[in-house]
Amino acid sequence: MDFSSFFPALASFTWQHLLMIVVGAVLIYLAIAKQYEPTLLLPMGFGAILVNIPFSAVLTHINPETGEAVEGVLSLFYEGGIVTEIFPLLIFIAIGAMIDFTPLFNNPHLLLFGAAAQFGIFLTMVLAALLGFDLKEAASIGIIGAADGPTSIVVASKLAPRLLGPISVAAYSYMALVPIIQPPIIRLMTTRQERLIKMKSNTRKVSRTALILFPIIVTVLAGIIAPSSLSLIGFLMFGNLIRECGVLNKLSQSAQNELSSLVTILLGITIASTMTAERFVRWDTLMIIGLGLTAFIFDTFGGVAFAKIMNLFLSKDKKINPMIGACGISAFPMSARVIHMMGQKEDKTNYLLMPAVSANVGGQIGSVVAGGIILSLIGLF
Amino acid sequence: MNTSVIASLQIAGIGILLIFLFMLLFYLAIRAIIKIFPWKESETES
Repeated sequence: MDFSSFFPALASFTWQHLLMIVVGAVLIYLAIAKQYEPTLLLPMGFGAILVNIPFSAVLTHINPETGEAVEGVLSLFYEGGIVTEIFPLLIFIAIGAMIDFTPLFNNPHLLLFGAAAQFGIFLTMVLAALLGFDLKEAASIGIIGAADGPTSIVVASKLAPRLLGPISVAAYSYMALVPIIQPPIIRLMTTRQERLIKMKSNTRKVSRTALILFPIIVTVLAGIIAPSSLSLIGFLMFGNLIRECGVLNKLSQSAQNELSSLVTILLGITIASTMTAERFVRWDTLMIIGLGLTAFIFDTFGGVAFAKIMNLFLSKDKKINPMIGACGISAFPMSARVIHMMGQKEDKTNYLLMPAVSANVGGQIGSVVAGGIILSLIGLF
Repeated sequence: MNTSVIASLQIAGIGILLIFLFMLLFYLAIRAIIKIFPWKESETES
């Protein structure tokens, strides 16, 4: 009797499978022990283990006895939820329902940091192209710098599905590492004097009509300029409209809690279906992880540099603390919290939380807009 | 430089400009909305 016929999975194990199971275990460890984006990294880690056991039934496979293809549940989820964009777009409804645009209405000029801090996306795209990735792959790698998981997933699944696994892992891992990545870059780019700048925070009240109109106007403007961005921006703003309309509180709560939780579970474990040893254990993956870090670093650089440029034109009492520029990335509210803490470290009486949150909300819009712009522009080249 | 690099440079240039344009439009939209629909005392706090 042949041993391999009893334990075909064991006989087919390779070091690559083992490595991926270790990667899955590391993701689970980071999620539980370090609490790095646990809602995503834990399902992804467990999924990575699930799909790297040879002949795993969760993926579509060939039945050795009949020779027929048997559908695997994760493959079905992938086709139905990721290829069609349904999962990430449902997450956008949930995120939209969670965002309060009031801080942005209080400091609308800080919205511009949501543009400046997307610089890393574009620089990384160029670097990836220089390293030999084709244009669509380079754009998908660059979008890691959006610091926005669902946007990365939508763009990568459309432009470079084969890279979806490493791009998602990089995006979510670096989002969790914002408190480690941003401070040294900020300190390197700013003087203590600049970090001590105090900012007046406006706390004016915003009318309900204004908050209801904003998501509608943003959707229409985005649709007119870049129709390809509409699925991204439209779903985000739809979620926000549910929140702000004031008559769908139950739906808003469901979107923020149940919908978000359910889809996050499915999203994480479904992305893991792309983390098979054959697709993940490659030099490409290491390059993507490295480029993702570059994107985050240059996002921070872009935001801080833009604040310093703005300060050249602002009067002394209106100067912006350049650290606020770093909040233009989408990692919400982590980035705002990091900057507030940095400000407090320099001067206990400096409260940067309000302007930091305003810029961070701008970053959430900016990352989605960047994703839409990339999808629109790629089609032209 | 290969075509991908040239195209990525072009997309980067246009992309950065476009994203600033979008944000500028959203900024103007916010300013306009605040002006046209200011908060009134009669409203509950939002």
